Order: sequence, then C-alpha cells, then structure tokens
Amino acid sequence: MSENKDFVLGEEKKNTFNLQTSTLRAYTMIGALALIWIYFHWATGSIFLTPRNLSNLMLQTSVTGILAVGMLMIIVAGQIDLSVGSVLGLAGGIAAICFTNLDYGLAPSILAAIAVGVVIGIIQGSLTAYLNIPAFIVTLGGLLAWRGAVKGITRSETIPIADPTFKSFGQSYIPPNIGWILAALAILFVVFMAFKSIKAQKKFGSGGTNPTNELLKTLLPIGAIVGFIYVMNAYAGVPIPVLILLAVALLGYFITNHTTFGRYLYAIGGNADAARLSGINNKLNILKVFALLGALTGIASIIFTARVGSAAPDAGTLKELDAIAACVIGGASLMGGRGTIFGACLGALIMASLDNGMSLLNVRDFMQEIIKGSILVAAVGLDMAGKKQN
Amino acid sequence: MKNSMKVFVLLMCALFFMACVGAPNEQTSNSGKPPTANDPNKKIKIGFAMDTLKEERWVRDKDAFEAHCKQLNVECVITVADNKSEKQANDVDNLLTQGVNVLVIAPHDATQAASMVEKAKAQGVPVISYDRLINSDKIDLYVSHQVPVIGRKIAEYALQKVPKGNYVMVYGASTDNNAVIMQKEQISVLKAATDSGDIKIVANQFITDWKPEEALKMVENALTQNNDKIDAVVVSNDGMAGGVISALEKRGLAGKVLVTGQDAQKEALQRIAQGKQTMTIYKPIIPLANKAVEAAISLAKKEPLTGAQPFRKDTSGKDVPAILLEVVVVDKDNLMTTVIKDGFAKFEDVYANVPADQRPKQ
Repeated sequence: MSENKDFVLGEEKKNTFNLQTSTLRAYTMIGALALIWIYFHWATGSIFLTPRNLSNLMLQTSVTGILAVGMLMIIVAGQIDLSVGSVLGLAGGIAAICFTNLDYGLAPSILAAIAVGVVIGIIQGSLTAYLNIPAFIVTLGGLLAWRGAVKGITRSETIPIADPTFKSFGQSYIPPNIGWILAALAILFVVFMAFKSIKAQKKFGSGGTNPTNELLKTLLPIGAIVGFIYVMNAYAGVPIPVLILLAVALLGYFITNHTTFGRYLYAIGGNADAARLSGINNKLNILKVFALLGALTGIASIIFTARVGSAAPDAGTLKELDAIAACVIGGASLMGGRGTIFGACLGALIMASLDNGMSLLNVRDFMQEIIKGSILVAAVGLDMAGKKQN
Repeated sequence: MKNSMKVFVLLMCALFFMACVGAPNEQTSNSGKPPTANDPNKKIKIGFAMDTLKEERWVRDKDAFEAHCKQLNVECVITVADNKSEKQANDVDNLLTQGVNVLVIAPHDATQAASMVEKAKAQGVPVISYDRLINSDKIDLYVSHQVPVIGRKIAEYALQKVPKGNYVMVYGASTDNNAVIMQKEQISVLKAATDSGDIKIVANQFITDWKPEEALKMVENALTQNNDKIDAVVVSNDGMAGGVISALEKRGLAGKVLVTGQDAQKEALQRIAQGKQTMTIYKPIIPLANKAVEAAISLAKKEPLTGAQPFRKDTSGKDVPAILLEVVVVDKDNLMTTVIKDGFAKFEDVYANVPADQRPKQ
C-alpha cells in the first residue's frame, strides 16, 4: 500500500530521467503502442496505418474504451466489477425491446438503457458498500443474474434494430467540417487551461515553471488533436462512437483529476481506513462510482447494439475482462489507488490494435487468444519490473 | 443516518429478490412443464438434456419437443446446461436419478458427453444424440439435420451465384464440431474454383463463440485489406451474418455482396426480404423434435426404429444409427413457399421492413 501514498500526497518520486513515474509509464505505453503499430503496418503490407484502418481501429476500441473508463474508477477505488458484460447485454436488450418491440422512440430507449445501468450500479454498489459483501462476489453474482435476465426478457431471441437513426450511433461519421470545428474548440480549451494553470501558479506561487514552458506543453495535445481529426477526415470523418468515447474519456479525466469525488476514489483505494478517518464517506463514494460505471455501461450498450444492428442474448459476454485488461495494461493496480483514465484508454487501444492487426493478418483464432493473454501478463510484468527500479 | 441507510439497502435487496423470484415464475408458466409423475399408468418418461436456450432456435426445439410429448401422452423432463459441460453432466445425473426411461442429449461438448452416455447405458437407459453428434459409439440413435450437407449447400449456392471473385469465409466457433464439418465441406466445394483461380479466398477465420461482433470486426478488416473488393461472404450462421451485414452497410455494400447464413432466424428472414442477406439454411425444427420424441418412445418400448440409417462417424470410423433430416435453402424467391408456408415465420414479421406495395401477394 505504501506506493500509493505518493499519489494521495500529490508528490511523486522522480527518476533518472527527471520524469514523474506516471508520466514515464505513459511514455513507455505510447512507445509500446507505436511499436505494435509499426510492426503491423509492416506485416500487413502498409494497410494498418491507412486512414481507413485507423478509423476502423478507433471504432473497434470505442465500446471497450468506454467500459474501461468506468472500470478504471472502480479499480482505483479498490473495487472490481465482473458484471459489466452481462449488464451491457441487458441494457442493450432493454433498449432494443423498448425501441423495436414497444415503439417507445429513440430517446426513451436510450434513457432506458442508461437507467438500467444506473439502477444495477446502485444495487451492486449498495450491496458492496453498505452490506460489506465483497464487490467480487456481488458482481460475480451479477454476471450470472443479469445474463439470466437478458435471456429472460429477450426470450433468447435476437432483437433486430432496423431504424437508421438508432444504427447511426454505431455506424455514422461526423461531417469533416464539424470535426474541424470540434478540433478548434478543443484547442481553445487546451490553451485556456494552460493560461489558467499559469495564473494559478502565479497566484499561489507553487510552481517554478515559466509561462513559455507551460505554453510549449500545449503543443503536444494540440498536435494530437489536429493529427487525429486530419486522419479521421481523410477517411470519412470522426466515427460517432469514437466521439462518444472521447467525451466519456474527457469526463472521466475531469472527474478523476479535478473533482473531490475523483480524488476521494484514489484515497479510498489507496488506504480505505485512512480515508475514512480523514472524514471521507467511503460507502457513499463507492456506491456513486458503481452507479457511474452503470451509466457508462448503458451508453456503451447503445453503441454495441447499434454497431451490430441487433441485440443478441449473449451480447457482451467477456467484455468485463476486456475492460479490466485495458485498465491493467494501462498501469492500473488491482489493489486500488493507482491508475489513470489516459492509461485505461491507451490500454483499450492497445488491445484493439492487437485484435485488428491479427485479424488483418488472418491469424487463427486460437493464436490470437494465446498472444493476447501473453501480452496482458507481459505488460503488467514490465510495469512491475519498472517500478522496482524506481 | 447510518441505520436508515442500512434499512434502505435492505429494502432494496428485498425488492430486488422479489423481482428475481417474480421473473422465473413467469418462465416456468411459459415452459409449461408437466406435473411430476405420480401417474398410476406409468407413463414413459423422456429426459431431454439441452445445452442452451440462448438462441431462438433452441427455444423452438424445446417448445416443439414438449408439444409432441404432450400430444403422444408421454412425460418429459427438460434441463438446460447454460453452455456448460459440467452442468450438463449434473443434469444428466439428475435425470437418471429421476428415473427417465430414455435420455435425449443435445451435447454442449461432443467428447465430454460421451461419459454421460456411458453412465446412462450402465443403467440401461437408451440415449439419443440430438442435433449434435456425441463422440461415442454407444449411442442408440443420432437425430439431426444433414450437417455436412448444410456446409455443402451454402458453398454451392455461393458458387452458383458468384462463380468468380473474392471470397471471405466466416466460420463458426472452432470448438464446435458442426462448424469444423461445415468448414471442411465448404472448402471442398470451392476447391476446384480456388485451384483454377476463379475464386480467391482473401480472408478466412473461425469466430470465437459465433459472436456477431467478432464477425463484424473481421469483415470490416477484410474490407479494408482488400479495398472493398469482396464479392461474397460465406457466413456459417445468421447471427454472424447480421454482424457481417452491418460491416457491409457501413460501406454501402449491403445487398451488393452475397451473404449466406444458417438457421433461418427471424431477423435473417427480414434481411432476406429486404435483399440485404442473400440466403439462409432452414432446418425445420418441428420434424426434428417430433422424430426425436417418436424415436425415444420406440427405444423406451424396445421397439425397432423406423427410418434409421447407419452413419459413419469421422472420429472412430464406426457406424451409429442415425435419422438425418433434409435441410432447405431459403432465399428471396422461396420465402413464401418455405418458412412462411410451414408457419415457421409469420408473413407480417418477415416483411415488416418492406413497403406494403413491394411485398409478395399472400
């Protein structure tokens, strides 16, 4: 647990490169992703890094990515949720029933899916927080129970979605010019935040950084935004699921870094007793984080259902493991207290890249599973080895 | 405050459990299980160990099986193993304990089910392997559709409609023996054309657990790889065909590329009516379930089986008695005369997404 103190106190150890350990980890992961991409680009005969495939890749990341954002907050708080896949199936099934069988219209169906996620999150969260049943057990029960509920309500039939508006949540793209407008807004925001941080540092006199440095730091995200929109527009525009993922990731970043709720999660996961004794309401915060994951699962279920064009009774099986794996590859600790939204999204992207690349290479299914499993273990192993050195 | 929260949580739990208990009630009334036997006439008791009810088709099997048992005045006990071999083994134990006269198994795992057969035979209970072949020479009967023929018919249909071009092969789960048989048959049908170069298989993959979203991703990637130059996607079931068609729709190719399927699921029939999916394989379920019930009664009464033919098992090279039923190719041209005529699907369901003036006359 002692490692987590760094985060709670907000001062991290520096290593030989004079970088914070979390920053170093992020760079290592980006490096690993780059290596994977370059390898696949070479192996697929220059197909992997085309705009079209990158667009597909981002699409294929979106559902796992959204789940990973919610899962990260759960894991940071020292909890776990194994029921995500089943809840995804149930929420999607209910949305499809509301939409196709009951003709409730688009907005109510989507709200129904999110509501289902939230209600399940509240149930599981309160069982965990207030009745002290371990989250592992509660959600393991949920994994079974909610899957049973999906089969029950769909009568084991696959429910089709014929409406193009619903499907657009999984299949459409934002027109290129709107993509650029969003990019401009994002850049303005980044610059605004930089100025705000300079101002704050002046006011409190905490940082020794000079303003030019702070502004130079914005070049990286600005470059990333422009590059991203450029590549997506070179194909068909930003896919809507990807836009939703970005919005969810930003929200998650804001919650974990800039709200008391988010900071409490790290504190609770780092040392639950210390958090409680310093006046944090652990139970309520744990309930909230489960509800939040539920809501995100509801959103993911809409994308999932829209993308496949139907809600199948076994939709989402094993998705919870994808989400957990993404968090762990992204540097989250299952002991709680450690992990970032950025890492989780990167983890999801790494997993999707492996899937996409191996599928392009036509690697047999059993080999794909072996490779993915090995990489999961290797990633965490490297992370652990790196930490020891520090 | 703390106490009130506890009360609140407990109340919610109570509600939750009530909801849980409420749901299965509805299910049981649905399945209409016959009352457990205290029958003085000593009815024949058939045990049916099913693997799953997750797909629509298995629900149909269950309904048809129950209906025919009722009609022939025999008792049936049905268990569902939720896709788990160990649960199925327990189910079979329980059925044998309940004293069934004959056991029908739709195995989850063909090889693991062999030990269930051993156990039943040791107690003198005859066993029918239902739909999927159990890897045991001791089974008394194998009732199924002509699985090898399904793979063959799908590939022949594709070859006839698209004799030249780029093919993508989307196989089922590599853990499912039927998927492997279908793959072998499809490849053997296409062999002449692939050898001559008329057909090029540009991507082929076994899809884990027959998942539609995996099939979707695979075809997305295959389209990227081949710059949309794909003429036919040979898909092994309708669920995956749904995912494949989503991938094609995104590129504006739905209806332009041949897509096959299997099972004649409602949504697939709708897609065929709309022209998005080219064909599916219709395996009439009711005759299958009826045959199984009738054969089970014959076995229980120790009467000779009618219509059984020897079937050579690949794994052991030995013959087992089998009743194999015909399968039917369904495409846009014969929807009316097959699935709708048989009452397998309703006209208004199949043509739900087709404008009224473009529907065929009823």
